Amino acid sequence: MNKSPLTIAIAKGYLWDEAKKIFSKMGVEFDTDLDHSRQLYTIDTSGRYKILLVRPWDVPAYVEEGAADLGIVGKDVLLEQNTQLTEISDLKFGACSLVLAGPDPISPKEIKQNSKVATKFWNSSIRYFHEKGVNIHPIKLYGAIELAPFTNLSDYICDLSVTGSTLKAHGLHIIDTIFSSTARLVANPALFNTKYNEIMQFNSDILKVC
Amino acid sequence: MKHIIPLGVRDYLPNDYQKKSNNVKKALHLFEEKGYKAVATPMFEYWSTIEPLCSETLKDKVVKFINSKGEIIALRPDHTIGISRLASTWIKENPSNLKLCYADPVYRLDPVTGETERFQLGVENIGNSGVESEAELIQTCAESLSSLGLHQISIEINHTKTLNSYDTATQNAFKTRDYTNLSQYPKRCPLSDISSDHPLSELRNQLDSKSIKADLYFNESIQTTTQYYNGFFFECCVNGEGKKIGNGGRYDKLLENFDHQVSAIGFGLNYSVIEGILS
Repeated sequence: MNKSPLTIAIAKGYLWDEAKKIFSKMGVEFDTDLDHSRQLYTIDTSGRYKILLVRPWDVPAYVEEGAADLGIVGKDVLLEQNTQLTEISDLKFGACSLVLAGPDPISPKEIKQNSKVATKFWNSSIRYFHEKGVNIHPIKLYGAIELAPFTNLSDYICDLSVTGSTLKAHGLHIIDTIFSSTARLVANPALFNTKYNEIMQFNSDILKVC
Repeated sequence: MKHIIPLGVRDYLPNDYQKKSNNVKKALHLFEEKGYKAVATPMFEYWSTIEPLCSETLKDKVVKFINSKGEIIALRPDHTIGISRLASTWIKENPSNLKLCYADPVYRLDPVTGETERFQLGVENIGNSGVESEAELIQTCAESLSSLGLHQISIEINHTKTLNSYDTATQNAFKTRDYTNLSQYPKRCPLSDISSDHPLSELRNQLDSKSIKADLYFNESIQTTTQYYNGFFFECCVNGEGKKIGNGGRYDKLLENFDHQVSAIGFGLNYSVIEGILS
């Protein structure tokens, strides 16, 4: 009997770039080059894996609703969305941090009440400041966050940083690290039950090359 | 003006309503054949009754409001709490076991889909402590799912003793489903493969003698959203489907909250998910 392939939703961008290398090390090959095609999904040549290439923030929805059995997504997205997924493994790649940054090299304790903070990570930022007892005025942005302090849209920003060089280039200093993140293999909890053996086999295979 | 309804609830148009009504009748008929009597509890109760019995995750999902007396009221997030409260007021007149069933909505906010109202069917067997009644419960659960037209059903069973045998860090990882720092993953195997000294072995032996319309597994990854289970507990899934269709277990301690020391077991089926699979 032919089994249906394991469906894996993967975050587009740098996580997909790394995931491709890992699939290659696992001996998993694809006929379609998703990077140079308008196609948004592909099945590997062995028919075992179906890859859905989606926006990083959409991976949890695909997995949570069961449209995908598994997902490869950053811990940053999982923390921001407070998902109810089964987090199987830390795949160790795609390391980055959510940092608080501003125009002056101050300590976190010097952040004033009611400061304006621009971020795409609304929930994580509010949670961080509330744990420190600081009320903020959050401003939701979707990109080019570094522009906000420069234009007086905000006093500070909370944004992802890999090396800190983009922040530096915009005259911003890292004040604090809110959390560190790497790529995670996540599963739909119901499908983790009924596809347990296939999922654990995939997990074991991917961990051998990560 | 656009006549929309709040996010998280739905209308049933005649065809859908008819299907639901027929399915509910079918399930209640089966429950009644097994000796369960249908009851209904109010749609809302005092939050102070419900709160101590909710897990932290569930607490955030409960819909609450303040009534005209300034009291905090909660729409029922599950049926077991309300039926246990009902049973505690009734049990003096019925000292033997109470077998009750229900078919009504519960209200809890799903953070992803926004779904708030979901229709549940289920049974509670109060005052019946034996492992035989646990096996009968699982059999009834599987039969009711099968009678609704579902196939390839799996019932994933765990036991609080198994969970408690792990260190605190592992227990927390299992509860939060974050296995990234664990040296071993939660195990799953056919229930028939467990050893004779396993906490579920007696239940397995009872189930062996019955015809069960589902595949049975021992599964350490399943966890409960409520904190009142104290023995076996289980989830129901359909192969290839991404939503759990039901859950249940033993909750002997729950009635202590209502001043009664009496054992109890039960299950609830999420009809809103089931009708999605059937369609």
